Amino acid sequence: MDISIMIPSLAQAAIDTIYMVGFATIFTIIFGLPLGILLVITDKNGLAPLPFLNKTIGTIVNMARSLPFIILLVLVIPFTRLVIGTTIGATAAIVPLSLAAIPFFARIAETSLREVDKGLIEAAQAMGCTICQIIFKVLIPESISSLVLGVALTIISLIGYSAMAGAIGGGGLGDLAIRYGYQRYETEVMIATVILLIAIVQVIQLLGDRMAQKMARR
Amino acid sequence: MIAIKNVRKVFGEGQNQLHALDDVTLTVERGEIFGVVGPSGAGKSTLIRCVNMLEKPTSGSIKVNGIEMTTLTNQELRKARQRMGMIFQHFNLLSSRTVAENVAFPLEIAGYDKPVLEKRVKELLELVDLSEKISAYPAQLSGGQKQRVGIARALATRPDILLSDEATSALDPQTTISILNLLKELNRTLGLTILLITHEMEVVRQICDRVAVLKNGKILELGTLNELVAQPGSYIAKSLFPSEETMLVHPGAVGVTIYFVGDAADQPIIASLVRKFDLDVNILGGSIQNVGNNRIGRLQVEMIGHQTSQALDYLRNLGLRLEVI
Repeated sequence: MDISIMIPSLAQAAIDTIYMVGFATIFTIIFGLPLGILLVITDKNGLAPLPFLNKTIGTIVNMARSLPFIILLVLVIPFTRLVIGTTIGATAAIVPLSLAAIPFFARIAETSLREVDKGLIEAAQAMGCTICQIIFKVLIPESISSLVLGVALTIISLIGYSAMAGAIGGGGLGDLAIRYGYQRYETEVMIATVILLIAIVQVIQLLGDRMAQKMARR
Repeated sequence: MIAIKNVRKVFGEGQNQLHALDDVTLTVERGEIFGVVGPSGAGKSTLIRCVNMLEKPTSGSIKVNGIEMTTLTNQELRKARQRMGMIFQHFNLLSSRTVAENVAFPLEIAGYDKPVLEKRVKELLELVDLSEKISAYPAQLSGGQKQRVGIARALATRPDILLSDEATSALDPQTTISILNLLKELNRTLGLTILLITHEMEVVRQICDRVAVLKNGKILELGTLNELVAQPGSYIAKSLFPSEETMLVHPGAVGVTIYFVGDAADQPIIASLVRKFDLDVNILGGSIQNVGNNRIGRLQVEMIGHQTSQALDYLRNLGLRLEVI
């Protein structure tokens, strides 16, 4: 590919990736964090033990996580059409990306929240906190740095998944690498996209680490 | 103030059942410092957690300020908990909040307005002598300072009861003493009723008015410290005067262990024995401890002479407890 075409293609692909992953991340946090919280508090030793609900959510999360992304992508096509109106393009790719990342992040958030010292929860209860107050004033603030690292990890996984979004015309860097670099043997495109992907992942991890460090007061 | 009646707590089911509390009854009076001691696993933690319902008793009644705790609704329980402070062995401060924000936490929960809240936080930090650490994070504090924050936080909503769960067990001896002094001072100046559990006899010795000894979920002994110390063979007496060595009494001599409490400890008893009953008195061992405001001692002696039985009666008449070997 000519350099004068490659640069705009790369830029467009990068924008598509950031667009897909960005929105998917937002939806993942909006739905995944509450799921993680539910998994923690409805546990049999949790704040509001609801073993049946806990088992149900846990099973659904496990099922969703055991599906290979490429299968999920196809499986949710009817749902994507319902939500977005089309099944093709970067916007349509946000739906399967979010659906794949929500259970992933729910488990990560669950692990982070479980690491909060039981003593802190007990102290909050002894002060007369409601469950809501414990969630928002104790659980989340105390695990925020670990949650931030979890978000960084999720974003990086999403970038990996987004390579497959090309299968439904989602575009993005991964798609560019496959179409030009792999299928057309244009190695320089492959190399350029891989370098760009590495750079993006590095930046996200670095930002995540920095933020987490700043938020940890230990 | 706190009336615990026939409380049982059973953990687990069937074969694995564990009776953490087995028919515990005790009353904590307004304004006193009541200590519950016992070995680990005795049920002390469970007992103090039952008072504010962090653990629900399997059966029995717990009344705090006349309110039956076991039957409260969730909302009533939260209100009742706001009227009790609690401090912990590992402080349990929020690491994401500064000292001031930690102390403000219960005030936020109780719905204080911001200006009132800020003023109260300053007051509290002055009370525990930690004003200069107002914007530090818990990670930057020593153990003793963390516990002071814990105390300030526990007292924020002006409760009249403080529950102390091994509050000094993670502290070194010197810091322990300063925290105990603070608790004692708060007890005196604010009329704060304190229920504390501990496995450290030092804590009991320093500040408790009354003590209960808990073992295997049952109360073995209960009374004022003086009463229990003066009871030969009591857990408290044995713990405060450890290393009870077997006395080697000479043939023909009468060996006796004398327990002193209060004024008796200040009397020249040995001299009286020698003078009044013409005895040879030989001291084999002994110790004197300050318990609360009292001096309590144990002395092991052997007496040789003709009037030993009169001497023993004399000692009993002085109000001393004796153990004759």
